Amino acid sequence: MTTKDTTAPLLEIRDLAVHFPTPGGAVRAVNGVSYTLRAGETLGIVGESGSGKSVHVLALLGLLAARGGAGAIVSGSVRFEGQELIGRDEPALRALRGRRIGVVFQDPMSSLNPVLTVGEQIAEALTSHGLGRAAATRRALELLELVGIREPQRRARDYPHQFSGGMRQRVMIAIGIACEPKLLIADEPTTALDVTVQAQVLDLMRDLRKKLGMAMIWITHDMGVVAGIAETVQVMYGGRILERGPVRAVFHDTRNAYTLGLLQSLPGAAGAAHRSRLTSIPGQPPDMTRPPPGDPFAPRNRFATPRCFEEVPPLAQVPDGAPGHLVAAWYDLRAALAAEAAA
Amino acid sequence: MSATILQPALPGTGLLARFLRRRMAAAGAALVLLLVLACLLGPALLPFDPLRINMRARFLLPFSGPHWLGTDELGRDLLARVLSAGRYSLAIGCLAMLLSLLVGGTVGLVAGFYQGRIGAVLMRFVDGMLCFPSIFLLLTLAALTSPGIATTTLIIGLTAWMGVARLIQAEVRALCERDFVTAARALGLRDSRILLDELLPNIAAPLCVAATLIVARAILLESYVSYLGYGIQPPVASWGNMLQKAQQYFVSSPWLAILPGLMITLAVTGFNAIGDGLRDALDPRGTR
Repeated sequence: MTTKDTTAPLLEIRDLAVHFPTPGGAVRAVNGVSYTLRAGETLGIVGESGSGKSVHVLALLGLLAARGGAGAIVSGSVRFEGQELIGRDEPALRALRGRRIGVVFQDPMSSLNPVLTVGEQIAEALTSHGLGRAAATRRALELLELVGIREPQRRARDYPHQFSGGMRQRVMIAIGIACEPKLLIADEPTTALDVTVQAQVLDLMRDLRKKLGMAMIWITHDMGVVAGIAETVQVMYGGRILERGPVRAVFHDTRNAYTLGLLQSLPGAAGAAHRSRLTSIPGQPPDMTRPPPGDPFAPRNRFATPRCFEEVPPLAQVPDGAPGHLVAAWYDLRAALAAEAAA
Repeated sequence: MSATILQPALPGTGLLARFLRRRMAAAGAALVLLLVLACLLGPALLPFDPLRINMRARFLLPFSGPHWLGTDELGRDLLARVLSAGRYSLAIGCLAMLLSLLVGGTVGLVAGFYQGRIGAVLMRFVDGMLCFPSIFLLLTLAALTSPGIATTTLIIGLTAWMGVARLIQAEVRALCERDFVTAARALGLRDSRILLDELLPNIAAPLCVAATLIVARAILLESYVSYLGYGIQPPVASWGNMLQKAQQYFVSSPWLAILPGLMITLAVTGFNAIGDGLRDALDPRGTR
C-alpha cells in the first residue's frame, strides 16, 4: 500500500476473513480484505448484496453475534489506533463502540427504539460512556441542532414514528456522532431515503466531517453517492477488494470490469456520459459456500482470461495509474476496451 | 394515522383517551374501581362488624331490615362480610400478580435475550412447571404449607408466572432481531442497559395486559384454594371460603352463595375487560 504519510494509520485491516459455518458448508462472506484508513479520510466501500462490505464492518466491531452470526469464524487482523480488535474481549470492544467508532445503520425506522423519545436515545449514547444525565440531555439538544433539526427542545420529546424518514436518519447520525468518534461507519445510511433527502443527508455529512474532523467509512451500493462524499473508493465483490483508489482515478481510469459494470449501471454519471442506455451486469453473484477458485467476478466478466478462472488475482498498484490506485485483475481492462473500440 | 402523527407528544393522556374510548374497557375499569373503593371503604362505613356473631339474627333475607343483604348462618352481616372478603381476595390477586410479573418477567427477559444455553435451560424449566396442571400444583403446595394470606399469595404467584415468562420470552426474542438492539450494541451499551433501558419499555404493553389477566386468574385461584379449605381460614372471610360455607345452605338460603359468586364474577370480568382494552390501547402506533 502506498502510505505516504509516516504517521500510523487510524485503521489498519490485514487479511480479514469471515466464514459462517452452515449445514450446507461454510459461507465465505469475507475472504482476505486488507486496507488502511488515515485519520480524517473518507472511504466509500461499494458492492452489491453479499459482497461482504457490511459483514466485514460488523466483524471489526465484534457485532456479528448480534446480527445472527453467532459462531462466525473471524481471522486476520484489525488494528484501530494501534490496538488489535480481533479477539478482543467484550468490555474492551464495548468501550470503543460508540465512543471511538460510531455507527449509523441503514434503516432509521428499525434502528431507533420505537418506545423511547429521540432525546432519550441520544442521551443514552452519551451516558453509556460516562456522561452525567443532565449534561447528556443538554448535549442531546446541541446534537439535534447540529444535525439540522429545528426546535430541538420540542423535538427531543418526540418518538421516532413522529419523524419523517430523513429526519430519523438525522437523529441516527446525531447518535452516531454523539461521542465525537474518530471513525464513523455509515452502513448504507441513505439507501432508504428519497433522492432529494439523500442529497441533504450527504451535505450534512460533508459538513459534519469537516467540523468534527473524523474519518468515515461509507458503505453503499451506489457509485453516485460515493462520488459525492468519498476521497477513496473501494469496490468489493465476493468478499474481496477488486479495485481501490482515489475517486477520480477509479471513476475515470477504471481498471476492473466489475467497477465498469457498476459505473455503467448508474444513470447520468460521469462514466456513463457517452452512452444513452443503462447497462446491467449479466449473471448472478457467486454462491459463497462454493466460491469460484479464481477471480470471483470472472463468470460474469466478458473480458475474463483463462487465468481468471483458476487463480485469484492479487490486489496491486496499477502500473501506469495514479498513486494508490490498486486493482485485482489478470486482464488489462484499458487495452481490452481499446481493442473492442477498434474492432 | 395522520392525527396520531400530528398529536403533541403526551403519550400518557393519549393512552388514557384511547383506552376509555373503548366501551367495554371503560366499563371494566369503572367496575373494578367501584369494587376496590367499596372493599376499601365499605367495612369502615357500615355499622356491622363482619366477624360479629348474632345468633338471634341468622339467615335474615336480603333487603329486609337493617342488614341490607341479609345475614349468614351465624347472623353476621353479609354485606360487611363480602366487602371485607373482597379486601383479601383483591389484595391477594394484586400481590400474586406482582409476584408472577416479577418472576415471569425476569425469566422471560433473560431467556429471550440470552438465547443460548441460559435461555434454553430457563425455558425448559418453564415447560416443566407448565406440565403440572396448575390446580394440582397449587393444592400440593397449599397442603405442604400452613394456610394464610402470605402463603396463599406466594403459592398463587409461583404457579402463575410461567405464562408471563413464555409471553415475554417470545416478545424479547422478536425484539432482539430488530435493528435497534444491534444499534444499541454498536453504541457500546452494556447488556444490563439494553435489557432494562431498551427492551423493558418495549414489553411494557404486553406486561400490562398480562398483569390484568393474571389478577383475574389469581382471584379465581384464591377462590378455588379457599373454597377447598386451604387458603384464607375462617372466621376471616374471603370470597372463596364464603362460597364453601354457603353450599351447606344453598337450597334454603341461596343468596349466601350468590353474593360472593357474583363478586368473583364481577371482579374477574372487570379485570379481563381492562386487559383487553389495554391490549388495544397500548399499541404505540394505535390508530383508533
